[in-house]
Amino acid sequence: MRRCHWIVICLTYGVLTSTSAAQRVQDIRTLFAQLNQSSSTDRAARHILQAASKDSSAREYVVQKLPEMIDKLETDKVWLNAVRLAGQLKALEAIPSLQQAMSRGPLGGASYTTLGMQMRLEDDIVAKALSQIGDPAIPAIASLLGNGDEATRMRVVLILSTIGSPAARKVLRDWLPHETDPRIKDLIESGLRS
Amino acid sequence: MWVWCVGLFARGQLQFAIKGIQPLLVLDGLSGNVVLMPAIPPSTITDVFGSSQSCDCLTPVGQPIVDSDGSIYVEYEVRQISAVLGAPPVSSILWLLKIAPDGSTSTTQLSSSNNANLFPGNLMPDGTGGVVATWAIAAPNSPFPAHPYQAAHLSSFGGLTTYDLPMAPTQIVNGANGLPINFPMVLGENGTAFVSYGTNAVSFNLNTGAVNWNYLAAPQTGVSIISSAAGNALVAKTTNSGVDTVLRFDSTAAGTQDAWSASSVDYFIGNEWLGFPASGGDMMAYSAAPVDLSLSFWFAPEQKKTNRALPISVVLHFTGSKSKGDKLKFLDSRVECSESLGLADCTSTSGYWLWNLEGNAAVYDDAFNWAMTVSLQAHSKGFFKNANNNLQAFSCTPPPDPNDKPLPIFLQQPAGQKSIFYLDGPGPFIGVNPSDGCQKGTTFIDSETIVFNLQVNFTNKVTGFSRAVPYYVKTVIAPGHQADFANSTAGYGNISLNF
Repeated sequence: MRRCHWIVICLTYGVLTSTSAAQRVQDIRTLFAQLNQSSSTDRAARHILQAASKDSSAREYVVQKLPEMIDKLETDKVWLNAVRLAGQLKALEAIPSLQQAMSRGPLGGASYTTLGMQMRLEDDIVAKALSQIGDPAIPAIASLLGNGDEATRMRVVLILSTIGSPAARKVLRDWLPHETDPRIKDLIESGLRS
Repeated sequence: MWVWCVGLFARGQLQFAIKGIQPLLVLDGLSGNVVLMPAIPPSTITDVFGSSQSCDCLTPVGQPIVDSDGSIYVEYEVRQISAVLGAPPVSSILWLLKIAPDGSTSTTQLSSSNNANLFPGNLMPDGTGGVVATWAIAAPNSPFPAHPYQAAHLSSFGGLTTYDLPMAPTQIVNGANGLPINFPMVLGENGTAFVSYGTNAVSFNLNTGAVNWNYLAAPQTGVSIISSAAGNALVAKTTNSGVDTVLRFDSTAAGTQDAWSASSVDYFIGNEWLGFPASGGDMMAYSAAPVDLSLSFWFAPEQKKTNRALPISVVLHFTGSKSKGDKLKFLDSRVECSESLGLADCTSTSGYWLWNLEGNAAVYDDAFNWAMTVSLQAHSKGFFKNANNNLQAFSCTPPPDPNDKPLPIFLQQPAGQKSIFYLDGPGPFIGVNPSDGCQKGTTFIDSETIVFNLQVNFTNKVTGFSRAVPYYVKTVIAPGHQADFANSTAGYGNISLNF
């Protein structure tokens, strides 16, 4: 009798588990569809972030889709949310797309600024996303130092300073002798001092 | 019996030096426990029969003060009073006692007399580890001194320079208690001090007593100090029939008079002044031009009734040029377009209107000992034009940001120095996200008002002493997204975000 009960419980659990897993997949697909709609993208982004933090399969589903969204040319709310999610979810898959998006200049962020906010990249969501991804993004970021204009190099230095890891500091140290812009040199030296 | 007290932070504890039943007590300000009971030498009184008694209760003790580092200073007069015929009625020695933060004591003889009392006067730190001491020579019989009010500067190295308190009354002025009145002093910058005597106010060199300038009040009018101000300026008030009017002097004594009056006027913060209506009634806050505060550690008489020097003095500069010694550069920011203070239109280069400001702190110890944070609250509202060219409203009230501290590139705080500088440049972006007024966007705003309420906090990592200075920046963008320089303002204090 007791054995029979255990079988029933296990079967029930298995059905429920598979049902909830399927439901979660459906939920994340629904949320992702909403992320792509201008009217629902902000709310969906918040829910996706919550779901992805609890469910690795949900996270995996989203991070695979983000690069395609970031590669789109239109920089609307949907695009901004995709970039933000890439940083918040530390989506390594999105690094090439974010690297490419750096060429669009500093976009998104608050409608106002302070010097502190600028240094924390609160007014540049692509740079912010790359800094949130951290060390895995360093090679892609560092490659922009040799080819970028002054504005891009300044953003790259800010990203590396924000990451602040030994690997990021090494890139800054190595780049310092090659930097020609005195403002960027100041920034690197300040970043290395802190 | 006089009871005077001052508060201080020493080794992280709030302490008080009190003159009361005992000549002098140092108390822990939190527990009330006695920390120290420094000995004050007795004075002696001899009656007509030659019988003497000694008691520290006969030794006049002045108002103690506490310097920025926690050192306590107090003057006392050890005297011999005699009623014996033919003997000098009084002879005295005036001492300055220093109680260091570790409790050790040292004394310096300021003056002596064989025919007069040397009553302790006001004390004031010199801002560099020394002190300015004053006293009054009160002779019971002639000859009376030509300069009864005296001062001395005791430097941090121990050098003592004595001089006549400049432009002081030539006769002792007694208060209601029958003792000489002590005149209020405040500290300016770079060795300048100010004193007021009721009839006149004087700027002088605290090292030598040399007079910089002397302002003589009109007949029947008194003058008293409110505060020293930046650049060795002074804010004072004249009093006529109980009604005060604010007077502002620059470093050359060129003065301007405020157009408003009240009784018992004092300065509070920003453009807020306190006083009582001349016609009577409760205390009111008055709005008038602010005081451009100095980096003095003792900027108000009796340092705002605490008799404690500030360990740190903080000023904000909102317009003009950066301070000498400030090596920071606004242009190290990728959105800045000017090295000048004040509102800058950087929309053609970065899309921002930015109000460049500079914070400057003077510390008594070492800049490196101080941790700095900046907190921020903001609110904005305005209009943008939609696709149909119709105005649509937007607003933004972001959550408070408790950590808007500038990163090291905008913070100059070298170890071994006593000055700290930082830069900030708050301001709005030219474009807004039509569906979220808090987000930057590509839709040009038409007009906007944004207020930043900021507060800088400096905390001493050794003693825990903390000082907060609130300030604000209000940027107005007029229709057609043009910076409204006339209506944009910045200053001390916080202003309403409810608009």
